[in-house]
Amino acid sequence: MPAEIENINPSVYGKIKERETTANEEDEAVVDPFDTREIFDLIRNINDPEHPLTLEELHVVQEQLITISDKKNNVHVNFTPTIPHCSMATLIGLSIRVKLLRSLPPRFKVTVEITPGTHASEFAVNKQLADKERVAAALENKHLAEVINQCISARS
Amino acid sequence: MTTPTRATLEKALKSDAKVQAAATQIANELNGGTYNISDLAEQLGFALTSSDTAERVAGTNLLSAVLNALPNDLLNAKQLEFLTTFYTDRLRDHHNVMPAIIDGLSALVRMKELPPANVTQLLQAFFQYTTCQSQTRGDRTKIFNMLEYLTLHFQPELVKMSGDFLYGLINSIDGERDPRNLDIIFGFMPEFIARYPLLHLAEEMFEIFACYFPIDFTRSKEDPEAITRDALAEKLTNCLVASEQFAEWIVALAVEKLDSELLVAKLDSIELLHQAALQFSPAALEPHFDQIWQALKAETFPGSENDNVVRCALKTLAELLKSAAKEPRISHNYQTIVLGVVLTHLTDIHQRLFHPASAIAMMCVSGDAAFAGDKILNTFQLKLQSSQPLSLERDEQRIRFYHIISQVYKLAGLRNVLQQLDTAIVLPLQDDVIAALRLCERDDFDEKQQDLELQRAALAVLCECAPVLSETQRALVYKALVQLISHPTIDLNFKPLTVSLGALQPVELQSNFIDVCMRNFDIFAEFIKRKIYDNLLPLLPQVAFTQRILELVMKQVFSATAADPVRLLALEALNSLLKQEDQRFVVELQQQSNLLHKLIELAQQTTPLTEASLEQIAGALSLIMQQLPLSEQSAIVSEYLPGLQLQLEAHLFVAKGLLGYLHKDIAMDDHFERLLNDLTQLSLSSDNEQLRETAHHLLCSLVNKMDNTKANREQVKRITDRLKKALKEGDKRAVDLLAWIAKGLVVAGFEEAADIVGDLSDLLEHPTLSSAAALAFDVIAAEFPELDLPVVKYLYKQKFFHTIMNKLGSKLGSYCEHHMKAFIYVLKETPHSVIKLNIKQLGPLLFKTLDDAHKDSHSLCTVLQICESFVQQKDAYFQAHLGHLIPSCLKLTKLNKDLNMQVRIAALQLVLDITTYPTYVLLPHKQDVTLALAPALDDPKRLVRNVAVTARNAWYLVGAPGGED
Repeated sequence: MPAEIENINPSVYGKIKERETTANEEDEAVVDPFDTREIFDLIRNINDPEHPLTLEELHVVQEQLITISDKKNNVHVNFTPTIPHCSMATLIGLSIRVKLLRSLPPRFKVTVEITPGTHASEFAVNKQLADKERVAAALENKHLAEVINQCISARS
Repeated sequence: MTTPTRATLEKALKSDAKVQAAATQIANELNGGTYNISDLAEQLGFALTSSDTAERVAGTNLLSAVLNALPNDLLNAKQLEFLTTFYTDRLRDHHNVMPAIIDGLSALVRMKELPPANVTQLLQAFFQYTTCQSQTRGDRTKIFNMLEYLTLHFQPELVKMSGDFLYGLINSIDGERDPRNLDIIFGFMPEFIARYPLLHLAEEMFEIFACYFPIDFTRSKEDPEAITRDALAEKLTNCLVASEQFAEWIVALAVEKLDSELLVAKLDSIELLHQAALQFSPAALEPHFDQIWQALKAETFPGSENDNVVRCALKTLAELLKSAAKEPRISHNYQTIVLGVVLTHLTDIHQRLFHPASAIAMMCVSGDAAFAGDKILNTFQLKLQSSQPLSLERDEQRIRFYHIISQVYKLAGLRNVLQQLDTAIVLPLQDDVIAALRLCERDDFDEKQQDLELQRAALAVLCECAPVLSETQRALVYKALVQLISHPTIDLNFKPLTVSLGALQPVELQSNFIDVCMRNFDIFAEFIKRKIYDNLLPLLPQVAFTQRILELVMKQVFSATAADPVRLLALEALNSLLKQEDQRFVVELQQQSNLLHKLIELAQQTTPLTEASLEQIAGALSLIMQQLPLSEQSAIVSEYLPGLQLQLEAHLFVAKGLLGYLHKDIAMDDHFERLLNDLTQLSLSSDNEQLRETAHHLLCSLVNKMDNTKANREQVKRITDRLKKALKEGDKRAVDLLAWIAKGLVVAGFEEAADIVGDLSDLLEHPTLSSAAALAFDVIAAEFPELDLPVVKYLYKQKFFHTIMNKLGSKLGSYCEHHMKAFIYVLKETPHSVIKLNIKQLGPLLFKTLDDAHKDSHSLCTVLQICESFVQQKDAYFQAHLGHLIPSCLKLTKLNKDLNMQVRIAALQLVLDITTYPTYVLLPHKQDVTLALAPALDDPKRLVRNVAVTARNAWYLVGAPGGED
């Protein structure tokens, strides 16, 4: 937690309602495909490192910025930092990546990137997030792992 | 006895035990008047003035012990004066003698006849020659107890000592570290500070307490006197707020400590401010309000992460504003400062600060509802006026505003200031709310695309502001309500609004709403009729409407021409009416209109009713029966029962209504045999499952309630014999019936139950009836809330469990399929504590079930749930067997064609719950579990994947930095 909060009064938005269970989901015979809402549900409750708010409430992640192809085993997530020079962008990206890594079947290729044009050092951050070895190394760092785990652990 | 001689005294001084014994004896003799205290002093003089310190200590000890053992009214003023002088002189003595002196002094000051002048003399010497803090802990305790006694009993003298006493007291307390002594000090000082003038020493007095703030103390586990940190902190806070002179320093102290990183310091500081707000007059705190507000603002705006801190800070702010409300000038001043900060943030709902701002605004309203209410409502009013006009688009802003507005009105209502709100503000605001509600009257309103959130919020506001609605506004509201209720598809709940309008304006509501509903009732669709019933029934308790509403319901129920669905609706309404009203109302209703008789006639009319209607009639009958006095219940049964032909559907339902909840003390002996025969016959011959179930429930309840007489038991025996014969012919229906009879008997604790259960368990090996027999155990064990089984044997579930254990024991050892299935049904309903007692025997059975591939989904789910209840309580047996349990569960999380997804979900849930065990137990399994859960993430069913994700993420956090532990 930094001593100074960079953005004291960010915009906060409402949460969407919990996904309602449909008859198809109850039916054993029907296969439920992965869809954007399911991916969104995985990451929307990740906590922001600065505020006691979730990424969903800050509109850092949005359902329409997620694309998924169940058949091609592809998941693409764009996220939007609240301000263009947010120093937390990499950390947020890492949290999303780690959460998806733990929650999605290994067959998916997951890409996490900053929404184009929303961050000053967009390219550098994207490159870091795409580098598997850097992500693995980040998780070896005890302090970093602690912050990430706190971000992605469910709030009691 | 005579005065003790020097020799005996010398002997007594040899050891502490002897001193105590001698002291008790001497005290008894003094009390008996054998000799007096001056004789004793004379004899003891050798020791008291001895040049040997040890002897002086012993001598003084003896004298003090004697004083302590004496009753407090024995010595006269003169003797006490003499003793005081003696002890005062002794205060200059060697350090070792002090404990004995303190002992004596604390006895002395409690003597009734002690001249007040001596107290002054004593205290002056005491403060001059001794320092409290150089004494041992026990002696300090005595000193503080003595000081407490003195402050309570010698106020005039101590006040006369003025600064000397205060100074001495402050010096004595200063530096005290022992929590037990602090507990005493903090206990009596608030009263002292409140009663004594603090003179120029107020700041010193404050400082000796301030240095303890916030209390940091961890109780040792062996401490017998359980002083907790929180108790000490509370007492300390009382000391700090004991005098208004402290106000300035308290605020500085609290604000300084509020800055701390420590949670305890924050909470204590906030509590200190809260207490200050409660204790001090507004004038005392006014000069410091700005400082306090800045500090509280830092905690609440935008607010720290800790909800508790935010909540306490808001509470404190509310208390400050509330206490200020007594003085309008100060109150308005405070409100202006606070509202000046938050109001600007109330206009954009998407800002992070909107929520904290609205929370603070609510605190302002709770302090001074009229003033703050106007300001806040005005802000919303202006914002609503300037933003987009009402449209059918989803209007998040209006919804959020309305929620807050309704709370403002609610608080204003609670404070009785609704009428004081500025009509120039509230009227346009209310217009806006009504317009929002009336959106659904528009032609292009499509309720499929609307979630009606806005209308719900509007109704919430209207419900709170009902008393201040203008007449024109009320007219519009009635119009909107009529539209809503007659709308063919919208179903909004506005009962609270009609109830509050009914209480305020009964005549208006009657003519504008109720009459309109009733006039056209017959032409409305069923959906609308249901809404009308829903909304009218809550008005029934209001006398103005009772008769009209009752007439409507009765007319619809008993009208000869009513179509079946309409009647069913009316019957449902009648049932909810009977449920919501109290006994007096129901009994009166029955007496005035003989409702019961009419309902029975209705059920038995020539054109048969549907089963659903009959079910409702039975429900209504039993609701009436339950409220009637016993004699009347009994009379009704004798009147109607003989005429009932139970094989007819309508008659069976009437019997269900009359007998289902009949009081257990009403003797049924005359009808018992016939009822048993008829119901058994019906169950064995009918193919209609619903009729059979009704018959079973009735039989079960009847058997449960029967008097324990030989005749009755023989009747039951006769029936069971008949059923056993049917069993031999392989009749499955007999198994069901037998199970229900057994259930009634088991719950009531009849001995016959064991035989029937035995027969049923034998059936588990039967070639064709085995699965029906297993289900029979479900019937016996499961709870049926709708079934009336008033006779309940104490601990019958335990008894049943043990019966089954004995009967099935050997078979369970070899895991026969049907036996296991039956047993799991029983286990499902067995209390947790009973399973826990027998876990050594049951554990292997449970694990075996999880491993066994042939089990059905239902049994597996039940077993997994039982395991879960143990794991959630961190049970030690399961902890020891995790090595077995975890792999079994992981196997069940995999896709298996024979099992349904409930099993996978339950297994994953159990894997998740296992993470509540301590980290060191889990770490060895972490790698395996996270790996084995990966396939479940790709399960075809989303519901399974959801639990798998939660479980796998929880396991990743086990032992990880930033995880739970």
